[in-house]
Amino acid sequence: MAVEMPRINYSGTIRSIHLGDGEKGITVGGEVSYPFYSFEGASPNLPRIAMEVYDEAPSDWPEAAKAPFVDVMGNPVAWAKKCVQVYGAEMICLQLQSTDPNGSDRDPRTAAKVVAEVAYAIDVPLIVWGTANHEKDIEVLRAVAELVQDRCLALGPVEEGDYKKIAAAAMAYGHTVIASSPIDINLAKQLNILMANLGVKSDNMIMDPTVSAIGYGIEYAYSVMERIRMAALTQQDEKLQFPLICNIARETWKSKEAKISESEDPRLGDAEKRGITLEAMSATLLLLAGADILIMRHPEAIKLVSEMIGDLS
Amino acid sequence: MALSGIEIFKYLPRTNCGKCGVPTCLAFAMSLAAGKAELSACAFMTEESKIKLEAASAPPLRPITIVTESKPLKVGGETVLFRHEKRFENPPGLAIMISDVMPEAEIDRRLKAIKYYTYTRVGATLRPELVALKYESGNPEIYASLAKRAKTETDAGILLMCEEVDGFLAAAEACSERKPVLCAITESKLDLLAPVAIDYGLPVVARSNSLDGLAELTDRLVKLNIKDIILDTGARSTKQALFDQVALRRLALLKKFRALGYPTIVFPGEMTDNPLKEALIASVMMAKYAGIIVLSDFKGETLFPLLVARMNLFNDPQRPQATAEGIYEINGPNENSPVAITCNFSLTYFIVSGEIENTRMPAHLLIKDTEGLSVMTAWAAGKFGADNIGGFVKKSGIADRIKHRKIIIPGYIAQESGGLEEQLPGWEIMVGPREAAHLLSYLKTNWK
Amino acid sequence: EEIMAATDWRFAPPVFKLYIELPVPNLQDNSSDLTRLERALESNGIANPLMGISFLKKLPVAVRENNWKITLTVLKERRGLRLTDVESGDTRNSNFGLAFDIGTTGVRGELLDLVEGKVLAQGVEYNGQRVYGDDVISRVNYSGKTGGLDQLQRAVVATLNQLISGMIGHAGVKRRSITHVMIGANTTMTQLLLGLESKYLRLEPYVPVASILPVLSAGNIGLDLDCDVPVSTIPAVASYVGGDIVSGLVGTGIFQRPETVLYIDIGTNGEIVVGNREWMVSASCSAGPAFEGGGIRHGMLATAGAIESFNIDANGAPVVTTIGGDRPRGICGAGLISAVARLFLNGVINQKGKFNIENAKYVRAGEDGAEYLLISALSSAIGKDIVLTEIDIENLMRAKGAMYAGYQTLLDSVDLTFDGLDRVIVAGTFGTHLDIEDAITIGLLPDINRSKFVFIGNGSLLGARLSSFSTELIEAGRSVASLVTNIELSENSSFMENYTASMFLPHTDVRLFPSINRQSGEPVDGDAQ
Ligand code: B12
Ligand code: SF4
Repeated sequence: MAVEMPRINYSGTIRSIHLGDGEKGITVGGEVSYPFYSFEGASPNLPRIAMEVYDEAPSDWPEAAKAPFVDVMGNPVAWAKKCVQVYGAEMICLQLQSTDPNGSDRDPRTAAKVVAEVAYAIDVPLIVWGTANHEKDIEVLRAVAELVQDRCLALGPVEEGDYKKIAAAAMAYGHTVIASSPIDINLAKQLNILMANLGVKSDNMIMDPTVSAIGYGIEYAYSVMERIRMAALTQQDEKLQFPLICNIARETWKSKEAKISESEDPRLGDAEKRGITLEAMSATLLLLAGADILIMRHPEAIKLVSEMIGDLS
Repeated sequence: MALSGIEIFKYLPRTNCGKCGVPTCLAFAMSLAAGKAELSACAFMTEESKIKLEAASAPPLRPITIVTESKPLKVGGETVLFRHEKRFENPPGLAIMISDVMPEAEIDRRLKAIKYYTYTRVGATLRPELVALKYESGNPEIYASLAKRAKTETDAGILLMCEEVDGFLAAAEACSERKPVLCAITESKLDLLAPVAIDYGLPVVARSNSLDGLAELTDRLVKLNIKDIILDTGARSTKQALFDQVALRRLALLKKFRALGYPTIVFPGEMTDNPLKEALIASVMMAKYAGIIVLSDFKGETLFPLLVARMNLFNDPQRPQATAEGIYEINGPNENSPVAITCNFSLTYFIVSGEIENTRMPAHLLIKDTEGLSVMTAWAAGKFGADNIGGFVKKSGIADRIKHRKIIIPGYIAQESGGLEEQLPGWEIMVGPREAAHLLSYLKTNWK
Repeated sequence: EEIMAATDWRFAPPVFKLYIELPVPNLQDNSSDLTRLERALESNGIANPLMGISFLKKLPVAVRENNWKITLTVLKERRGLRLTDVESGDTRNSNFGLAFDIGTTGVRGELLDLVEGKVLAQGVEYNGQRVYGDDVISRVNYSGKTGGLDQLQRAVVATLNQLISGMIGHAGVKRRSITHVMIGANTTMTQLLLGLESKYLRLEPYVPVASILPVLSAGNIGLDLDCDVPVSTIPAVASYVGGDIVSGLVGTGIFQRPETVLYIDIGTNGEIVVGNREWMVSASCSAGPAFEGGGIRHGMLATAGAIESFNIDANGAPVVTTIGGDRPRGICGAGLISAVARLFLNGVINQKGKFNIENAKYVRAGEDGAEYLLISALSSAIGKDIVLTEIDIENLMRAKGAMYAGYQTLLDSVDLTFDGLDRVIVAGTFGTHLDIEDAITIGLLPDINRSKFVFIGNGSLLGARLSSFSTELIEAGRSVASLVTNIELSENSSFMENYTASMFLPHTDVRLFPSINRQSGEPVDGDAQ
């Protein structure tokens, strides 16, 4: 009795979106089946990993996270270069922590200048991530969009509260928009519809479902992403047929379990390996749910996840 | 239950007598469909309906219980491919592999590891449940003594990874009360090993590297009245293992293919020798459908993330997503910053926290669990009134973070301010605006 | 002339009159008045009838007033026949009943001829309880105060008495010839009418005192009628799906037919039912007062001067019509729906109900955020600008979102979609003013074949009236109340999902509203479904 596995009939595909420019540009998305289900339809692009760089030296990182970058943490350009040249980063995500109104509250012009420096120091695609404070992000991301006109950046998180102004600037200067919604398939779809009504072309938009780490609500993001992919691939929901980007690393390393030393709680084992495992495992689960771009931090975690992508593809 | 509420309803008496604990037959049908009621609760069903419903209610993927010293471990019994479709029923068991040729000290450490790595998190206890004993010495006594130690020194369920009859018999005898799992029976070893499983009444792992082979093997085992079967496709690469798990789960659920309607076992430890990568492979197997996961070793740095990920993936997504109760610091507040309180309906949390953020004024936002209901709905249902708000504010610990004793309540529950003054002596109850959008002007004028 | 009413039920009101001529007592036969009456009744086939002390108080005078010729009023109860009144002479053709729908805001009544089966008079009054709170919850809270329950009962009974006097005066019917009262009301109103503790309706798990109440008497609750007049209430399903809804299900005959129907009561509690004669599921969507103008800056009830329709003319200026053609005083529910529908179709607001500031001719910043100028102070009757604010729109979108999400959740629970509906019955006085296209454009009503919609006005009163004419329909009320399965939306995660998706114009899932999206130029993917 030949046992035949039941097949899913996929009636939709995910859009392919091109990020960055030049020959180091990258295309993500284009899936024709559920993540890594290549046995029923090979998807044209593999998920990709962007290494995160902060535009000011972070203060509260655990030792293990600081170690690989301790020599460059104060200089975003050097940091970005190190990621590309030493750790082989295919993409960089510049986190604009300095512009946080509750932090250094750096003014938009200065922040945009730093982004420009990084943008022109590397040739791989650059993702620019604001602080999700609507008023401040509008000023900062518009300044970035204008200043770095001749590079195709990915700007976000663009939310319902600030999409009109930021998306307009992104469109004006040909940048890709990262539409960010709060872990809800309907709010995600509504934002995509509003963006389309504003004129954002569907081939330069990607979706951020808002992710959290293992132990801090990853299951909500996991299920929302699975539902988005199911609607996009099997229910012709054209408004959800976009690649998914997950800003996951900072979520895993800020948790207390990634910080407690082994001496404090021997049961939790080696702190560095634990931090790397929490980041890599959170990223792996999001890959299974449909992540196309993972924003990651620790080179070891990145190596492990890249291997997993290779093994599973 | 594979049938839907309305499908089950057709088999019920429809007298709406309420004796099953819910008001109507349709309500009973719906709770049966949601797996929240037992068929036996209705005593008025015709025999014929009972048989039909029992057949339909047997989960397409057989639940199997593995004996341990403490709570028995249930694996399998799954009904969906995606957790959001209903829920995943039984988290996979985690096993540590111990070989009988390992040095004494190593065996001691591994046996202790099962109990040692126990964590409590968010009120739940997280720990592994199983031990897998590998027969490599070729000497039944040595293997039997390891089995005995596993039974006496741990409360874990036992998997006997041994395909030699003499070795297996000795070990099975040494820990028979623990009903060890016979891992594994292949087509060639069936006639030798099946009788042992039958004598001791043990669950068995059936192994074959083709789906057809597995189906034939389970048919023959069922004919020998061995029903508690766990499937091993022998996959030793992540990609093949993922394919096998998806194929088996779809065959059982979508095609109701009984011959492969069993939980599975995987061995990430045999797919890599890098322990961190092994943990990642285990997490993939956990999400995509393994019933038992055998790890090459237990180390805190990899086991802890796995146990928490397991808890997350297997909690019930049906509960409406609400924001967690607690104190949320917005815009970096200190002991002089204002305190506001609201419900834990996620829409309200997003609106109110967003409005406070936009005021750029630091504030402590207290989120009270109202089971995901909005301010007015929760107030109306008696879940957001002076009594329960007062109690929550006291136990929230906000008092230790602030020097003042003022709290801003939503305008729509202004009628509770009097009651709150009684509940919170010494506190000034400030009635905020009805709409969160007015918080900016309110704070500017009322918070000096 | 009911467009949609229960059919082929036997006309047999629960109360009938029986004319008897008793043998005149004398020394040989001086048995008691009651024994004499019971003997005569036995020969009329009525054995050991039930009765109260107040009936006996009326017996001795009544039998003698017209030489032992009397007319008995008999109530058919489940346990047997009850003598509720005795009058001298032959009063058989003066047998009148009262039917009431007691709403949270308004009370409507009808005076019925129980011989001819006709409506003789009607009346409507605001519910006297409004002074103690606008909605069910604030009244339940008030009932918790000392003497509160009493005050609330007296307030609604006063409204009923007011209506009774009005109707019998209008129709020239004697108070004494009222023989029966039938009441359809939501669970809270029913319990407050009977002075029953209502605190537990509000607290989880939301439990009524009784869903099927025994027949009471006018004397119990202070109705201005003979104390023995039986007062029947139509049974309820749950705390928030009451007798008014069961009354509608009975009155429209849904329980008799195989067709699957969506029954909607567009009002504060927003009760909905999906079902047919086999099964029914219900829920309370608690839409709130938006449809009655409640919680809206210039909201008002649908009375003279209320804006009831809105459009935008060629050069983008607002054009309104008001009830009675008077100068505008505010905007009622139907006007609100029309305004939001038109503002959306003309791109003045986006699908989230927020103003697109770009075409801002009539849009300005107000204290509650952006607002649209409907009528300037000059042409309004209140000397102030009449505006529609973003918060008003948000409130309406929450109300319509709760209703639509409720329909979906009920349909999901029985594996159906909107296509599986044979008919949509819209009850509630608000329904009759409603423009279907506007209601569908904002996503309050499903985008299905328009011929499936039926507007029946006051379903509760319809059921109360027909039940007054037929014990069969009273019995139907009991079985429907126990048949309906209530779904508690507050614990239903798929409701919360549907609710978020419904807070969009017309809806997040564009395929559910194909006809709307062609109008607003939206490409409908997967169109011809
Ligand atoms: C959707 C809805 C429901 C849903 C629940 C959705 C949910 N998750 O809460 C369901 C259907 C389950 C429901 C049930 C009920 N509901 Co209801 N429901 C509504 C509805 C339509 C919208 C509620 C909503 O989504 N609000 C949106 C959120 C964001 O509002 P919010 O939490 O209040 O927050 C706002 C403000 O309060 C303020 N704010 C919030 N926090 C803070 C904090 C501070 C410091 C400040 C300054 C401001 C502030 O800012 C927010 C935005 O402006 C309203 C009517 C309406 N149109 O609003 C009725 C309403 C709230 N419900 C009501 C009632 C009575 C009920 C029920 C008791 C009875 C019933 N009819 O079923 C039950 C509850 C218990 C039960 N048995 O189920 C009443 C409450 C009456 C009253 N006097 O309070 C309302 C007003 C409708 C009405 N008038 O009848 N309901
Ligand atoms: S006990 Fe049986 S017959 Fe009675 S209500 Fe429950 S399911 Fe229906």
